[in-house]
Amino acid sequence: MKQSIKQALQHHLQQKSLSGKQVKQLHRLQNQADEQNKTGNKITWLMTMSIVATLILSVLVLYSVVIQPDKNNMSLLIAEEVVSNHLKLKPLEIKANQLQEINQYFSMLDFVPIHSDRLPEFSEKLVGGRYCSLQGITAAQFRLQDTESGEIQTLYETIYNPKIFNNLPNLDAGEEPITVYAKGIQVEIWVEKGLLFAQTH
Amino acid sequence: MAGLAVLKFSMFSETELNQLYRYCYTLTRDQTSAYDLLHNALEKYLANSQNITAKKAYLQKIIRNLFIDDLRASQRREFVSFDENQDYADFDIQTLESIIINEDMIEKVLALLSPVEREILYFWAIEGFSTAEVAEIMAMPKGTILSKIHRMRIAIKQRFDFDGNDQRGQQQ
Repeated sequence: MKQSIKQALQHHLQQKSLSGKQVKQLHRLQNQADEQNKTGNKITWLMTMSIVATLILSVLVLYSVVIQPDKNNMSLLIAEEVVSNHLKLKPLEIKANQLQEINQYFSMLDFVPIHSDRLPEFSEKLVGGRYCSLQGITAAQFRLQDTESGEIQTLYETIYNPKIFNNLPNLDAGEEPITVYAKGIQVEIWVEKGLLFAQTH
Repeated sequence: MAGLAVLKFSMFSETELNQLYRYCYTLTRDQTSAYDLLHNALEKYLANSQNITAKKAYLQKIIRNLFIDDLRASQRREFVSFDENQDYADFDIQTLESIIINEDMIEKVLALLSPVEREILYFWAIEGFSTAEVAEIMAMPKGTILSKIHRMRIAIKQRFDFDGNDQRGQQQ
């Protein structure tokens, strides 16, 4: 039958087809690749999730340990610093038994040290003070001495900044001081009238 | 797990596979070789088939590249240079339409042509592409495609008479 070369080719190629077996083989090839694809994607998905989980965990650990130490950790850090200085018993910069007199010396402070309601015998025991720091914040260090037993105590007062010191018990809110031990020495820490107090016992 | 459904590639249907098989056959002129070519190309496609939208065109390109690689391995292809000053109008791809042959002679026509010429014929007759489209798909200058059409037409006309019969066969 005579026809254009286009029609002839179309008709001729139309008769060329894959056998049923060949079609099955090619479909099987595609199915296998699909399964491998799914497995590969599952592995990729699991790996991605593992990496994300690890990153989240790392951030949480970093935040909790370095950026945002919990309340107990910060209390311990304060106690360790107070006890360390308490044991050194560095020379007093001013010797006086009146807070008013010592405060005149503490002219460089950004706050005014006060009597704590928890220390009614403060004036009786006060022997002097010196500039100091607590967690990098300028503080006033007082030395107290029991007149009868001769026992020496160290009291720190500084501005209370929750961003630095975290949440500490506030006497004004009816809370009780937190008690922490460092190097065998008991330290009481509390907040009162906007100031942080830390005292050895 | 919703992401898995997105990544799943769509498979080729039997109709599509047959279309691609015919393309392979046009290139190879042999049914076994055509199937092997399609199989190899499909394997290659599946190894890297994610996020491909024009899947048929992509697989066709793989088929073509594989075929050319095979051809280059067996023989060095010879491209006839084309005189750009020639008038293309006489041998635009549509001029092939005027060639009349006896349907029984189509295998002889295919045998007469080079693989590249058969591919041009396939894209024109089966896929319905224009000269410019064929040139783009085959990554060849339009002038080269036109040159090949011209030579194809001459070769066919020399071999087959006005009635589309094989003149060599008649002589015998």
